[in-house]
Amino acid sequence: MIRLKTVVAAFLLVAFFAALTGATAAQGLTPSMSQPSAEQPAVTGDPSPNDIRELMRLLSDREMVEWLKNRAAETGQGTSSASVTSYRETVAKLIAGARNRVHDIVTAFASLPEGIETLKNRADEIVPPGRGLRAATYVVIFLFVGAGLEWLFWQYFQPVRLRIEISRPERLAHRFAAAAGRLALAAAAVAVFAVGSIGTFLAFDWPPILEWMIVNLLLGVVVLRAVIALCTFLFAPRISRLRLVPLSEVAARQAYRWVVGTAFVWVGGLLIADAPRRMAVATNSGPGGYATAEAVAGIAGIITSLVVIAAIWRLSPKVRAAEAATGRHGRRLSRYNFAPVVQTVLVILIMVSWFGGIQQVTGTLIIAALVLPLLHLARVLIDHFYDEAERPLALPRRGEPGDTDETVSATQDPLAAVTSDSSESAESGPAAAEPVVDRYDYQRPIVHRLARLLIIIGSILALGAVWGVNILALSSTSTGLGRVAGIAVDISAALLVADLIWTWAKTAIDRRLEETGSIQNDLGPGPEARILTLLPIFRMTLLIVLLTVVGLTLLSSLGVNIAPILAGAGVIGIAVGFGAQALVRDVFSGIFFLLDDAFRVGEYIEMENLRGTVESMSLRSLKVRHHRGAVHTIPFGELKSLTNYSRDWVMMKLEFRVPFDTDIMLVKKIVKRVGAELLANENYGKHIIETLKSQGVRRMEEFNMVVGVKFMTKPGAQWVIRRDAYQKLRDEFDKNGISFAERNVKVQVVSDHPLTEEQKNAAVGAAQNAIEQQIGPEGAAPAPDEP
Amino acid sequence: MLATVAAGDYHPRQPGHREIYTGMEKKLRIATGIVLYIFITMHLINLALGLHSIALIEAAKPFLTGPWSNPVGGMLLTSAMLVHMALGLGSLYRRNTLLMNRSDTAQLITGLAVLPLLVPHIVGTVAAKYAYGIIPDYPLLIHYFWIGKPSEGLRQVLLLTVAWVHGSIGLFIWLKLRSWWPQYGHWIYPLAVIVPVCALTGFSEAGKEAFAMSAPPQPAGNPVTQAALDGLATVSWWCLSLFAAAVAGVLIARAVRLASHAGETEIVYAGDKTIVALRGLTVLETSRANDIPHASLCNGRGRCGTCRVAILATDHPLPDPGPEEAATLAHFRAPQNVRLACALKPGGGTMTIKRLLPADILPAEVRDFSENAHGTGPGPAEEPVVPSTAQEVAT
Repeated sequence: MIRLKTVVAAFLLVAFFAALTGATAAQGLTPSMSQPSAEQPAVTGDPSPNDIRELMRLLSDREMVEWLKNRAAETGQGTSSASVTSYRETVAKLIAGARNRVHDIVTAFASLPEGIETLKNRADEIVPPGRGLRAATYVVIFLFVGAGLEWLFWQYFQPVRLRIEISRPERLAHRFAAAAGRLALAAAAVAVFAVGSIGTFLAFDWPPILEWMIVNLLLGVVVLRAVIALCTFLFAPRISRLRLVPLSEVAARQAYRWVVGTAFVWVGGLLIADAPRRMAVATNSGPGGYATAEAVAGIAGIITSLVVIAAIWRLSPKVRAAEAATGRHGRRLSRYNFAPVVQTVLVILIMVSWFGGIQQVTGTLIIAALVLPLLHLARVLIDHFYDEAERPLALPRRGEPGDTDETVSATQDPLAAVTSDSSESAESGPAAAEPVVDRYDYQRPIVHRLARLLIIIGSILALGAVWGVNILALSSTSTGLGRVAGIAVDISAALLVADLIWTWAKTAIDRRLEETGSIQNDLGPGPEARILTLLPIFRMTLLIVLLTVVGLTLLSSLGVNIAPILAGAGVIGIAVGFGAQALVRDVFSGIFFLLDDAFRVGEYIEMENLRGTVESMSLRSLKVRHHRGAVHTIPFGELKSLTNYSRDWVMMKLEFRVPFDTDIMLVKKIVKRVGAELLANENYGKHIIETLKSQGVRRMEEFNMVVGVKFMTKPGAQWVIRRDAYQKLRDEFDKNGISFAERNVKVQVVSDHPLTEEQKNAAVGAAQNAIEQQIGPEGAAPAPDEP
Repeated sequence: MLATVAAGDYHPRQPGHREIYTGMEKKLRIATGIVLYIFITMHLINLALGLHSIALIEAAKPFLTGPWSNPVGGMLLTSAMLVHMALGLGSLYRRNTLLMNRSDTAQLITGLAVLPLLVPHIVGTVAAKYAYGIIPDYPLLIHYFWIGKPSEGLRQVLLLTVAWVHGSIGLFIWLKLRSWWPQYGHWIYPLAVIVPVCALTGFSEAGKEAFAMSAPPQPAGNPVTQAALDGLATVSWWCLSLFAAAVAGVLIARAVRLASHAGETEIVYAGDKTIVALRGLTVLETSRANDIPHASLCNGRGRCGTCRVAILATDHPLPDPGPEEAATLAHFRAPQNVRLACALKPGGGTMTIKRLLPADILPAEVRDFSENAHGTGPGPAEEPVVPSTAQEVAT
């Protein structure tokens, strides 16, 4: 379930945790009072040249090298027990350090006013009060210079921003470009401000402590402004069109205020917490000074965390309501809202661990608290982004009278006027069912997974940084815990990447299949037919390859030596390859036939003496159905040449035999008319590329002329057109008194007296013989196969 | 520019005394503002010479600050300041809402902040000269600001910032509507940054020089005594109290005035939201308060006419346009149902309006819209079309 409220919580947590990280990092820089400097190793001088020469001599000695190797092996065996004790020692040391730190801070809390007074007095010795005021004067000057430059920047770029803000982005790319352009402008303005203010600052020389504080102050202002720019980018409190989170106007404004307010408290807290720390460093005021500084930082931290908790509780119901209004994909919200409780507990835990001074635990908690909200945030952002990209299609444009319903509904309730945004997005639910709208649907899961992958990798790297471990080199460490962590990292990375690739490929392939499958071709397959055959094969291959690679990665990261498997697979591959040479040939020639686009499913082909319609293809063979129903299965390897009768066009030539006295012009006219009739036929007229036309007398025969006609159609349609053409021509010829030539033998009797019946029969019989001799039995041969 | 329009097609009635007074007031505000701005600019340029040396500041003083120190300049400056302040308080009184856009907010706050920051400076220089005969010169003042009393130096820097911001906002809003602005405006913006930045760096460089001085400089006239300082502090205190009382009085009067307004108006933005306007707000102020993009180049001062709206329907009689609004509308030869959003205060009921100009209009584009913008509104055909008038007015 998406917890949308975590979106806002994430921001607050980011701000807060960043504060603590900054604090802990700064604490790491200063010598901590719980670790006295006596523990630091004594400084040793460089060895003399003589010593080095002696060492080199020893190292070149073969016996010496052997002895060293043995020693190294022995100590290597001993590390496992040593590491167990070192873990315990580490924990004990951490606990002791935490106890000391808490004790020091509590003591410092008790005497906080005096401690601050002491620090202040010591700081006054270094920096007299007038100097501080002068520093403030300088800070005002720097800020003015920065602000002036920024003002100048806006004078030239304000029209651009205004244009972006009132634009109505309609496509995904435009929308993102608008929001990003606005962010870029804001970022550029902040950069100009930073360059102006910090640049002027650099032109002056400063005593170190003042320099530190002024830099802090300027950086604080810049960071705060950057946070504001980012919040404006995300929440867009004034312009709902550019908002990237699915919040209503009121909620977005509130979230914006809370986040910016929290950032303000955070930056202020950092500045205030850092000042006594700097003073303590600059004045060398010893453990007491550091404890006071930590106490001040603690107060700042407590205030910040209180603000964070307040923000979480304040915003949670609003965000929840907005989420209920958005209601994506029928996901239902649980009745009770646990997220703010969990987040509050986490914030308190982080604060406690910070007081304990255990940086690793603090860091881990921070990352743990951030990962889930960040994942949710990414999910919500991406979903909203795509939803919004699809929405404008369903909504009328500005100035058109279409959105009066909305204004009417808004007038009934004054609050609704501002929340109308959320109602709009709720209304867009049914509109989202339109087919145009899911054009981004196949991108969505990929982007989701990519974001998830990046966040998880980022958090793992951050965890590694917190614990001071190089994640990438983890699997080569010898400690048990490190190995387990390394294996987990390897496995999860492999799984995530494989999942990403698989989702991408699967959605892409399925989408293409769906598209091509939905195209109804009543006649001859289009170019999509090949995709229908290739894609499933490709998908299956990819799945097998991915599974194999991931499996091997898992095995290798678990420590199984996969070299034998690979070698075995290679050997078996070779053996199988020899054995299944024909199979391999079939598979490859099949792939190449498909690449050549020699045939597709549904096409009528002929190879050697087999012909029929392609019904299906497997990896190895091709199934062809003869038009009389027989099914031929032909392995691809057996195919040498192949004739395809279903490509582009078919030319059909017909012949008629007419007597010599036929009016050829009339025939031409009749053919032309019939051609027009055929073209006008509603069933097959659209398949005719060139309609029936006369080719005139093709040749003269003994007793008649052969008139040729021809037409060109799309493949598959020629038979029915030929049928009709014959029929119509016959009828038309009949009507116009043109008879087809009939085979006849004229028997010329050179005699001046009438023949007897017997003589006639004899003459007819002789003519019959002549006919049979002339034509022969081959004239009656069956026509070639035609479907 | 617009105020020079004498004859228009749209004059429902003769302007009353009050409207004539308002027109005068606007001119007066700009005039006094420009006087003050010129003074500040010259003063700052003088200060910027500190980049070279304090001596150069002092040497340039007769030319840059001098013209304002003689009786004529002094009178002009003082009266400009007083008039400008009074007008500012008057406009605060007439403000219907304190929810303004950014530049108006900045202008109001800086305007109110100028005097408290300025009083000690004036008292310390002018009053000290006339009441105690202390003639402060630049070496003395800079030493005082940087070393003698750094808090005063900080105050000076704040004063400079606030006064310059206030002046620049007003000046640029006025400048943007000049006809030559689209061509030359881009060259003027940097000046508005360079002058104060140079002045501030000059001030800090002069401060460095003051640090290097061996002994604090002495004033040219009488020596500075504790009594003089105390007296000056008393004068400052009185001035500040008076000012605070005046501001408080204006705010109270404003509250009383607003309380007398009644009725809420529902404004339907054609093709956009419907807003329930708070009492007494102009349409433009309502747009601003509700984040509805609305063109307005002069920030609601009734000068530019870019905020004009077509009244598509209303069930409540609207107040007649004042002379300024009428003049501006006449300039654009607007039909009867077109009004200026910045001047129109709907009295109640429901009103449907249509914004006529795009919210991102630039000064250079105003003229394009003045010639063809009213194709959408009903009734432009009744208006006599006199192209030559439009040309005259636009130039």
